[in-house]
Amino acid sequence: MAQAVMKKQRGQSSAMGHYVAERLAIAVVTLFLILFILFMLLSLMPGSPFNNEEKLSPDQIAALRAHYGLDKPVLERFFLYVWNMLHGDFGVSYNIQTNMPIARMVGPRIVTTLGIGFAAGVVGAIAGFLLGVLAALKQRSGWDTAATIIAVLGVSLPSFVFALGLSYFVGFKLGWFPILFSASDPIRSAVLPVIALSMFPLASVERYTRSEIVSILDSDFMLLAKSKGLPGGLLITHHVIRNTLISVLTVFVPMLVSLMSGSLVMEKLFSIPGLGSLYITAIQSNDYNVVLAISFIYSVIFILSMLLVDILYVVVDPRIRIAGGSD
Amino acid sequence: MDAHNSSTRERILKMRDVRISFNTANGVVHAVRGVNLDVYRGETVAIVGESGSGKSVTVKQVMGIRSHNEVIEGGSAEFIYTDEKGERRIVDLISLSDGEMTKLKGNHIAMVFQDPLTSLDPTMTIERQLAEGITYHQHLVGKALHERCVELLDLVGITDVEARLKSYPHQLSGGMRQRVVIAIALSCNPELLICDEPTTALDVTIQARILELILEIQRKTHVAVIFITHNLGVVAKVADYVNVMYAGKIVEAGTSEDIFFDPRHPYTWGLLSSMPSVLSKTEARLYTIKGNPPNMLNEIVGDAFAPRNPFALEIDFEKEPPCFDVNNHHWAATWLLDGRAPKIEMPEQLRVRIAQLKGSEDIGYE
Repeated sequence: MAQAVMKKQRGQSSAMGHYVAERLAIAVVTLFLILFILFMLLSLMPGSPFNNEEKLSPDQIAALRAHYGLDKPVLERFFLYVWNMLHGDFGVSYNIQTNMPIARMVGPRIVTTLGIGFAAGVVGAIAGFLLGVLAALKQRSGWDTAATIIAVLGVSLPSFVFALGLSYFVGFKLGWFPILFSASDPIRSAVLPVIALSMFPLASVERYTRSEIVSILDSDFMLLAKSKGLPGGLLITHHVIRNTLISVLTVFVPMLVSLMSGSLVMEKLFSIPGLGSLYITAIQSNDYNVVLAISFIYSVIFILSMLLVDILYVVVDPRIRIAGGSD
Repeated sequence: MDAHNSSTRERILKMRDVRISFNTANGVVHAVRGVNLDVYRGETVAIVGESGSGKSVTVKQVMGIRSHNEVIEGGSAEFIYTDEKGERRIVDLISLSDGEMTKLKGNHIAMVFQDPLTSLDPTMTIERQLAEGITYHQHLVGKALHERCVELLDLVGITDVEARLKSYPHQLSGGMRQRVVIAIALSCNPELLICDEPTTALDVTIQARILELILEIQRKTHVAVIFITHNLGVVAKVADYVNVMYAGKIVEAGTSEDIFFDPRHPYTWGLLSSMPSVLSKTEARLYTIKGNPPNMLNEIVGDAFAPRNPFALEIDFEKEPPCFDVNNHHWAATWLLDGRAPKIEMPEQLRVRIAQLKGSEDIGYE
């Protein structure tokens, strides 16, 4: 009998591997399609990627187009792009920093933006979760009221208000952290933008966690767990946390994705060299390769996050576990 | 049945004049208005009543399950048990602190809930849910713990135990889950088991099996059982003693035979008459008790059942009836039993039916 169980578990884990592989394959196909559509749409955009095109003669323009390979048919250009991309070459910038390889141009910005966004998400999620737990367990207390006020402020005030407030009080008056981001001191100078950005996820996660825990505390299975005579702490760690995580995950991950795609406002206020501002500039100036690369990165982040959520779900919620050899 | 030979019986629970109300937005609801209840080792006591009669609230006091707007107006619930050191102890469950209550809950007093489909934590394996209480109360770990879990699932009639222990609740059927809930309740060998409508959410064939299981476990472990239900068929199957509850009070109490064959309270008459039976083919319509239970927000004057009682006397509307003893194990709170009351017998239809029931082996239901 024990052997049968072992077999069943092995069956389940291999089903899991199969599931992940399948999802990855679908992700690759999706990304390819996204890239194709982006490429086609960009080739339809009006305007030209070259600065001061009106001052150039038709011959010069033709020479530039030939130089960058823009004179070739669009499909050919697409496959060439994919081929180069697979070899780590994302092309060069046409006008923002002329002839600068995209990888060198976008690379450091990705690290900054993802880093700040991810940190803000994690800080917001952890703080929001803890506040939510506190508010739910001490319902109708001062803690609960305080948490509610924080949540309302966090959701309703735009992040630049927090950013300006933090810059002024913590950065300028107290002088604890630098007001502007600097690549030479990325950790300390990222503290203020991370806190400002984390207010929204903090507030959302807090509200969600609280309402989720309140309904779990009211559930039949909590009544049974209480009737086992377990002390409060065990009830929370064994029964409440995991069940809450399942639903919090659903709201949190999409939020994390949007945080990681960079906030233009934050980048301007803290002068962060991030993806957001580069993206806007690139779109305005028809710097195709930059737009393409950043759009593609966003898609990758989004699809990977969704994949991650699905896998986390399976880990956290046994009901979603793939029925491998289940009876 | 010599269960009512009180000299040999060991009392486990003695509830006296328990009164509970709830503060609601509409006012104070007097849900339980002075309940007395005795439970003896190895016996099953049923509490029967309609929804809202206060039966659940009454037993939840025993488990220390209280809602935040609940007010205990008075009464006591003495629980007599043998502690870990083998000493006999008496505690009042009503005045016990939450901390002291956690030591009794799941350990000496356990409860089986109504809906097995939602009673188990969906994110935990059966073994972990079963083991939790045992680890906490009896400090069993490792192999001994696992063996105890296996033993418990065996006790509640689950086969393929090793696989089931590793299952999650959603992988089991409703009947199976209720067996697991019962196993959890029994995990620390409680003296008192409370079953709050444990079969209501199950289909009829499974109901019967779960009832038999509870009876069988009682025979094996001599646990005392309080059985809450609104289903008289279930009561007939399981109960040694029956308490009929109406509007927050017990209106009639006695052995199963007393209640089913010699009912005295008009409300009990009504309940029995409205019970569908395979023997009652001749009856065209099923009897129903007219009207609705009283609004517990209002103060009740006289007998709470009087407005619905076709046999009500004038005094029923003025003064609450005391308990009249029918014999030493059967009493009812109705003025009809007063010596001065006119001679009113139970309705003819019911008399015929009881005669039929007495003739048949089973108290026919379903």
